[in-house]
Amino acid sequence: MGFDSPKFVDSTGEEAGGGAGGGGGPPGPSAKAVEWVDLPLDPTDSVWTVLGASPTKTAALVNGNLEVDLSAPANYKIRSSTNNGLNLVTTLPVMPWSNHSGGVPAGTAAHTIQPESSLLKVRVEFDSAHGPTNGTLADAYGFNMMCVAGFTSYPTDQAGSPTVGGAGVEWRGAMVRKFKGDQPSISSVVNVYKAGIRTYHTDWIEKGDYLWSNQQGAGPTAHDSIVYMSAMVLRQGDTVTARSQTTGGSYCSTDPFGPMNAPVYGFTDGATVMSNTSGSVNSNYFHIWIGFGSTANFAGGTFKVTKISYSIQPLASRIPV
Amino acid sequence: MAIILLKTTTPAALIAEIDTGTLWGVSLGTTTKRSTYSDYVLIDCTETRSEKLSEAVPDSVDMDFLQAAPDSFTEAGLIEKAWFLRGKL
Repeated sequence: MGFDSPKFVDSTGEEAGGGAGGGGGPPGPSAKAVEWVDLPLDPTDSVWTVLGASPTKTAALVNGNLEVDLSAPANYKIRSSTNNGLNLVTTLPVMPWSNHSGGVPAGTAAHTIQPESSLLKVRVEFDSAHGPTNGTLADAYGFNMMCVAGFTSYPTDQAGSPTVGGAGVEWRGAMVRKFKGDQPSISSVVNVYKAGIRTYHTDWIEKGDYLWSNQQGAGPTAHDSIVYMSAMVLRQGDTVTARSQTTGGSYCSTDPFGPMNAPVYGFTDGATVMSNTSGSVNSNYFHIWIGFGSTANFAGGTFKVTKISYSIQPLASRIPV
Repeated sequence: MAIILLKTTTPAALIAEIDTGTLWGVSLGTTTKRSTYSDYVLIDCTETRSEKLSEAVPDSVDMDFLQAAPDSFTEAGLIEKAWFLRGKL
């Protein structure tokens, strides 16, 4: 006696379909599915605190997109404790439990990320014609410019005034940078742009294996976004070395389950401690952060962002929350 | 100390250049070390030199990985420990 049709279990854990007259077919959309949450692209929105702006480092909402202009060649380096770039940081820390039906678990603070039960993702989608960064012949089309999307974190509540730069202001994120000086629209070299991960402790871990949407020969699956993600059952408790496994890189936002340009399957360093409430490392209050800057001491370019999204989804863990 | 992982089609030439004490115009001093296998070259140098090298790397060489303060052997996971010891065979 076999199954008369494939059986499956829906996302609520209940068996569905498979039986004669049982309805058959795949389950419909689940009420528990988690969607991306889009953040405003207007840098003047109160969601954002803009840091590093100056007359030659600007961010503005233009034709519905976030445009960042760092076209005057200068030192926009973002590295370790140095942050000479232009930054969008959420004014308030993330509250991972705020939308969870179970509320904040007993013994956990509202701002605390418990890696075991929290899926973290931050994504930035770039204008398909402009690419992740671009420019003019004079700046080699954004050569050595980069965008990082992830989180910056602090030991204490920043009371609505987050900062960037300085010793110990931990940060980590997915990164894309212009690795070659080629004009993208007439270059089909796959490592014109490289993507990967960049943190306070790791300058880069990156690969350049895919065309971006603004390059010559780019097809419908060309990459157009960077994404950072993290989730892990902790090997250690609430300690300074309780690292979570993370990854980051680029993908095509319209190619579901298409390959990601990620240099590693998983990555850890001192910046991937996603929860340390003792405050002995700056991994207690997390803010979503998008950094626009350079990998070199002298570079220039522009950015056009069409979407900034995140997902911070607490899941019922060992016990329901 | 920082570690840098480079990928190149000409590792022998890169090693030879490192051994001159200067790479891409950056002085490597006396404490810089290097190793190579297949298409990869590892450089162990000061954080200051690693930053200078990251500024000077030509686009014919892939600087795949640069970490300013890598984990110690004690801090490393079991897989990293195994690969470290494999490299000493």
